[in-house]
Amino acid sequence: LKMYCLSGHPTLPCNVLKFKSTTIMLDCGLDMTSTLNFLPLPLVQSPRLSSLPGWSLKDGNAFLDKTELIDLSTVDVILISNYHCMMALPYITEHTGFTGTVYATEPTVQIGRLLMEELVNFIERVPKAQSASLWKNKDIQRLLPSPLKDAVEVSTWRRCYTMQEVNSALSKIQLVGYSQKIELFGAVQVTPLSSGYALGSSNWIIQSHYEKVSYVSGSSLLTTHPQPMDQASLKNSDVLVLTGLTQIPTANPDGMVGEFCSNLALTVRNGGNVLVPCYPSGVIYDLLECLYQYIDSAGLSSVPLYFISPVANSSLEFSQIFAEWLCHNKQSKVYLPEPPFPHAELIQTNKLKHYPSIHGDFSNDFRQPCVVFTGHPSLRFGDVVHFMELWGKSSLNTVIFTEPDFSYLEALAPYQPLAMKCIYCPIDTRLNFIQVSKLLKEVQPLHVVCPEQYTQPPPAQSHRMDLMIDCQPPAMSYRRAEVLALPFKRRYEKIEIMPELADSLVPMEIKPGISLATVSAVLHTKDNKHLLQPPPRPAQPTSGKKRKRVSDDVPDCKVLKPLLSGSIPVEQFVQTLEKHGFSDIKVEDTAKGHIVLLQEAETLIQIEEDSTHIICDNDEMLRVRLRDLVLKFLQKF
Amino acid sequence: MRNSRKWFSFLYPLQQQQEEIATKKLRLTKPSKSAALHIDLCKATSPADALQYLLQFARKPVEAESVEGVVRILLEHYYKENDPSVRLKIASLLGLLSKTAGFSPDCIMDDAINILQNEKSHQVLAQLLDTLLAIGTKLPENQAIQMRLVDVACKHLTDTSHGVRNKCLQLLGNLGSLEKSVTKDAEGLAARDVQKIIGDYFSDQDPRVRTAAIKAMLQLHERGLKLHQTIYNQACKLLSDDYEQVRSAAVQLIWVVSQLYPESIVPIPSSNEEIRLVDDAFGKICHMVSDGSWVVRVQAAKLLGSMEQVSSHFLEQTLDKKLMSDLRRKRTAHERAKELYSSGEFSSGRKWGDDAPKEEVDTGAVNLIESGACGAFVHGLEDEMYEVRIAAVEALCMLAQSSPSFAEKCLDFLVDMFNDEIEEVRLQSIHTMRKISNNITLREDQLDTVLAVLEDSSRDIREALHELLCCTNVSTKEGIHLALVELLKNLTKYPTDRDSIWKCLKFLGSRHPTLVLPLVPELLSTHPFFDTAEPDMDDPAYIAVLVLIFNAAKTCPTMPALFSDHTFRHYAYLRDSLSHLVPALRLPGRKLVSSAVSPSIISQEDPSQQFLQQSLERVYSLQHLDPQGAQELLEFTIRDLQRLGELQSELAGVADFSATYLRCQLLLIKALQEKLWNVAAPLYLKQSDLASAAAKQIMEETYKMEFMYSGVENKQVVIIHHMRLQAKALQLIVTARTTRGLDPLFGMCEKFLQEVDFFQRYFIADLPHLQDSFVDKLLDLMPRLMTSKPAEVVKILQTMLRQSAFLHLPLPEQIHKASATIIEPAGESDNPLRFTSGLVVALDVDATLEHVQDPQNTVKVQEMFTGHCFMLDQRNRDVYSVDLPSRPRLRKVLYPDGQAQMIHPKPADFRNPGPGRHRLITQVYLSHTAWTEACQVEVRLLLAYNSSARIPKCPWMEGGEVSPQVETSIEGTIPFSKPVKVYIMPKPARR
Repeated sequence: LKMYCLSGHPTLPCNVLKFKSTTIMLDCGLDMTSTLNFLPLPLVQSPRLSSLPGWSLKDGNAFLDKTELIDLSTVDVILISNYHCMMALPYITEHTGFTGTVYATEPTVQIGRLLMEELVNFIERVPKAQSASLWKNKDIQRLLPSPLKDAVEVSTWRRCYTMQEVNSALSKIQLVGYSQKIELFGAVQVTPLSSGYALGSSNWIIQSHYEKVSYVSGSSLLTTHPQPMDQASLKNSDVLVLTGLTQIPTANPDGMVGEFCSNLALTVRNGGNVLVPCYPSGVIYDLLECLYQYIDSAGLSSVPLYFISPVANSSLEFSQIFAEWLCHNKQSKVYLPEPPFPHAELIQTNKLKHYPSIHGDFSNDFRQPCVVFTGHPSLRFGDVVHFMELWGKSSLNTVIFTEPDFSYLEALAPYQPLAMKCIYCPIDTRLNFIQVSKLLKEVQPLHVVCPEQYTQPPPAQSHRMDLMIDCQPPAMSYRRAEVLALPFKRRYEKIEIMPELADSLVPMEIKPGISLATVSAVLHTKDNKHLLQPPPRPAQPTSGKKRKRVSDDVPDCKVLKPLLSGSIPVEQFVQTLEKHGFSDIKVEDTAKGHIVLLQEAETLIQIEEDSTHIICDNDEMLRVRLRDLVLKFLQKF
Repeated sequence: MRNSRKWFSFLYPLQQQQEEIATKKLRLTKPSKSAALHIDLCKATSPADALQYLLQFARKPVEAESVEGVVRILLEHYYKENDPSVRLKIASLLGLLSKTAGFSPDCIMDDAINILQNEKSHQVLAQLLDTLLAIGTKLPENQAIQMRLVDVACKHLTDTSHGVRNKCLQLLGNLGSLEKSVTKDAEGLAARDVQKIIGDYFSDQDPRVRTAAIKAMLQLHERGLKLHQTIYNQACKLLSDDYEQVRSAAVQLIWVVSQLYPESIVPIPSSNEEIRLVDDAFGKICHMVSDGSWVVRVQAAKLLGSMEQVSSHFLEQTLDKKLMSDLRRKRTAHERAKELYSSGEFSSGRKWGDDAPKEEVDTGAVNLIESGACGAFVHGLEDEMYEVRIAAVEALCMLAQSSPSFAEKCLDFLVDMFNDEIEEVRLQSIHTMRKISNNITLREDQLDTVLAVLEDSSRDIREALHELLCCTNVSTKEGIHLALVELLKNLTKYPTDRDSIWKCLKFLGSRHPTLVLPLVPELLSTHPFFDTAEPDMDDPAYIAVLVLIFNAAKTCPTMPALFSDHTFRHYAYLRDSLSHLVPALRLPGRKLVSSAVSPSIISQEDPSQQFLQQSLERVYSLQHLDPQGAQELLEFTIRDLQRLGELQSELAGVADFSATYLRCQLLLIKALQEKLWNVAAPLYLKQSDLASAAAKQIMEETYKMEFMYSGVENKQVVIIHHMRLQAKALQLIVTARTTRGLDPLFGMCEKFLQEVDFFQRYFIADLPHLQDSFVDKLLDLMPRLMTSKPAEVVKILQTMLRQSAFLHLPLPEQIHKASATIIEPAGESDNPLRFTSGLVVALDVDATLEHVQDPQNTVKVQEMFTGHCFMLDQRNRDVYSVDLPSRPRLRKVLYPDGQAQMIHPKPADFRNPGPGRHRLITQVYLSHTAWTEACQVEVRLLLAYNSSARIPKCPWMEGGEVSPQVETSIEGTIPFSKPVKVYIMPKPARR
């Protein structure tokens, strides 16, 4: 049982687990922070951006972080825990010879598709005339200015995938539901469990009959829109792989939401616009819900909310139809029937408007002051670039960062000098360390495996000893490109017995509560499932021969010989020999057993603990006679 | 000539020497790769460390010559290493290294096999086998090695790990000997029966191994080994496997076998009948169209399309959904009677044959919908997954193309697919229908369904449907009427479809003259007694009707009698304005001028070709004329050629091309005729506008010649470059004459000589054709030029330019000028496009491109703000006044803020409707601050070129550092469409 760690990023994990002859990839997150090294891609050529000193428009956008630790074509299945963790899927399924299946829940696939679609759309609509790749050469990279010089693994950065690749990757996904048991080649069973972090996000249990590995990634105990986390099923695991904890352990999501609302209100009252760079799904639903309650009380009901994304419409509508993946009170609304999310009402009352892009209808409806939700949170591509350029010059406007994935200072770098106000209130609902220790106490796994970053306090706050995982025995940590041998051995395998065979067994109780029985049967293996069948009747010599060709294991078709057991008491054996007319018997003790010498027949019988040999000179009759005598002392079955 | 040759031989060894020195130097400074690795691995204290070193090492490429050393070090470490994950990485590195180009891996094979034998970890074993596979595929010639590897694979086939068995099977599939049948008798046991070995693993316990076995078998087939027919039965068993990967691969294998042995006979299990193997396979694959997994269904549906040998009654069953009674062939009454008689048992006598032994129906064997071929396509076309539906439509298309009777039968199903919810499916079925349309005639109800698609919002679908209507047959006049009405509805709903609809009606008319005839009075709304109002000639709908009628009238002489007077007038107008849509008609009371033209087009081609040749010949003799005469001759010829190009569209490319070339020459001659040159001393005057402008223009024209024409060959490229060189010489001379000071001149001279050098190197093979030319003379004097001062160089160049011969431009076979027409925006509208300032407006651009090579990379859209207006700056609300467009020198300021943008369309925006034709449908984004009034934006298409793309790279240049090249890196754009003006009106944002 081994774990190959392909990604060092704690919230965007990519691990490969070898478990009982199956190779399982757990998540494939795409680390997009490398885009911060690029210039923003504006929709309309911007004279300011293209004339920035020291920057030059480099090739599109390339990000994947993956190592050649393992041959990816040997991966049998990929388990996806949430839609943020599947963004690298096209790179893996399309260009590595991967032939397996991907398992994910339906909302994960649909929203993941939206995220990928948005990404591809943002990048493809502004094609580059040329791409530079020479700079990735080590020797040249060394000469580049600081952030690029220090970037690691530049050679693994790739161009963004295309829509065809996305479609073909997504077509390899098989949809699953929570608590559905999926058999992998008969050897392993995997089960997704609700993780409470996002629509359709899941933790996975990977188990064989006697071992259980839980994979916890991106879970949340807060009550937001998705179904609450299923903790009970994680109990009794041998190993618990823990990834995707909160990236901002010091920030309280509730407080951040309050800050978000008050800053928004302040700006709008002063006549400024608010820009919220965000993903098209996820936290935005909660933000809209908060605003729904807040704007009326703050007297801002006339301020329009705009949500601009190529997938805005689909995202808002998908959220309403995934009723069974929502938390309980949202689910119960569906039966009233009412839309589970209040943004339906915002849309109906024209307070929230969504547009596929910044051109077209939006430009006719546009009114200021307003609140704009748009992507991408890295501020490097998407419509947000245009708004940054448009509003950045005025100190009335505010940009509020809510996504914790990117450092907001770095994201803002190419827009400096900036008159606009910047507020950073990251909202990350994933588990924090207090919740983790509570969870671990409850679930009681034998071993915990987690990224290295979680075993020590964050470097910025090294005194905060509470910001690390604390459990007994201490958690095993992994790093990028490391192979971890998980500390338990498989010892048992389940074998089924055919009813006819089970009928014929006669158990004997050797200790109270423990019974034994001897079984002689044929072990039949098909699709990694083992089955004991009654031995074939010996009276079928003809059919046995025929079957030999088709069946896979040879011993199955030979006529069965009875197996022997027991030990031979030498004294009695000698007496029996004498009874049968052998005389002049000599017994020698050896280290392992005895040698019985029949001197007149010049024959030797070696009796050892695990073998018995009869050595005689070409006298088959004699040998058979002796053999029969020996067999009398042994039990057959 | 002799001189020049000496010059080459002098130049070349020098270069080679230099190059050798360079490479040697490189090798010396480069640290030895293997040594570094060795040090790293020795340093490694723990397996994890070693792994990191190996990972780092794997990132850099290894040169072929040092591979062996690296491999030795890796192996050495391998023996010492206990950690399997490190061994795994080493094994995979070995595989990677053996793939290095230029390295022969046979030397490491022994070691690889050796370590294989002692390896315990299954995973490493599998990786090692993979390495062996890489080695084996690298050495396809070496039979002995292949045999050995196959032996190794067979040995490990019994491994308990599925991964190892997989790799073994893969190895067998890729390396199993092909000449088995030949060597069988000779070697007997030595040659293993690879097929049998692989076949045994069809029943492996692990599904992954079963899949791998089938894949290996398919691999054998791909490599040209003939599979045995016995495999067919084995593969059929796998069709009912529990795992979809196995079934999917099995379907493929069955298909392969059915293509290999289509005519062999196989028994039907439930009776003693026998059928052809291809029919049996067809039935089995059809059955898989209703498999539980959609992947298998797609696979099966796709493969059905390529089974053309299948018998027609099986084929037709696929469209019949009736369930047969448990799908077995029923025996005939005679057979049953015979059986009864032979059974000879007593019967109660109440009923005839009631005691006859009945066929025992095994409940497991009866498939509820075991349908064979029945209804396969019905299922496929109704599948829930659109991928399956698309595959079924594709298969239907291929089968229908090969069988007309099937085409007719599948029509209904295909027409139904026009209503599919997924656009791709609709599009695919429309295309399919078009492909088989020569076999079919549409009924009215079918037409109804087809025409309903015209309301589709997708432009692609509508245009595909227009194409389909162009080539379908309609059975009744009501059908024609219906089609016309629907097309006109389409026209009003989507006016942008105009051209496509007109074209569609043209074909519809010419295909069904007799059906159109009875409709004419109604369509033209003529009345036997009364004159009706004359319809509006500019109405696209009316034009559409006329296009239909005129095209029908072409083969229906009685039709013109029904026309009213104004129809004839309109005919004359349309014949002129839309000549590609309206044919020449034989009209009463008209001279048959137009009809006389059409048959003679072919015969006319010759004289015009001749004319072209003759005028060009004449021009090349201008060497002997005085300058004045030469100029006149050139001017006349250019005029002639241009006119010829306008008249004869087939010759337009050639005529334009040669005219451009002549114009260059004309400009050159004119420039050299200037008075400027008569003055002995340099004047440093600014008056040589004409000469420098000429040089610049010649350059531009040569770029156009090089990049705007498709079909330009190397011969022409040389001449074009030569012309450009002359222009550069001219430029140099002019600069020398007009600028004071020597410093810039030095640089220019050097640059020019460098360019001559490049020219010579690139076109070394063509130099013999350039006798007496400028370059030829230049190269003769090259050694002298290299050493002389700029002033002297200029003097030499000047005399040479005057003396050089005018080069004959050989005409290429096929030459077409790239052209583009912007269909949309039409530029007619006066309504400005309004948008909020600061935001973005998207301008739809639709253009057709002709004869553009690689449009994805070359075609760009340019937008320019032209016209004048007042620009409102939002920040301080100042009003800037902008210059009026009267003074051309201030053009840059003309645009409200001097913007001219270039936009690269997405690759996906280009469609390729036909050879040499492309269509660009894209959106151009504009953004601006507020203006006082609507303003014009000019949109045009540009052809970007990069001169380095055309010139073949010299091999020696790639290795070394990139030398500063002036010639090769010139990039630029040529406008190649008429600009279209669009009004836009940014308005201030609302509060």
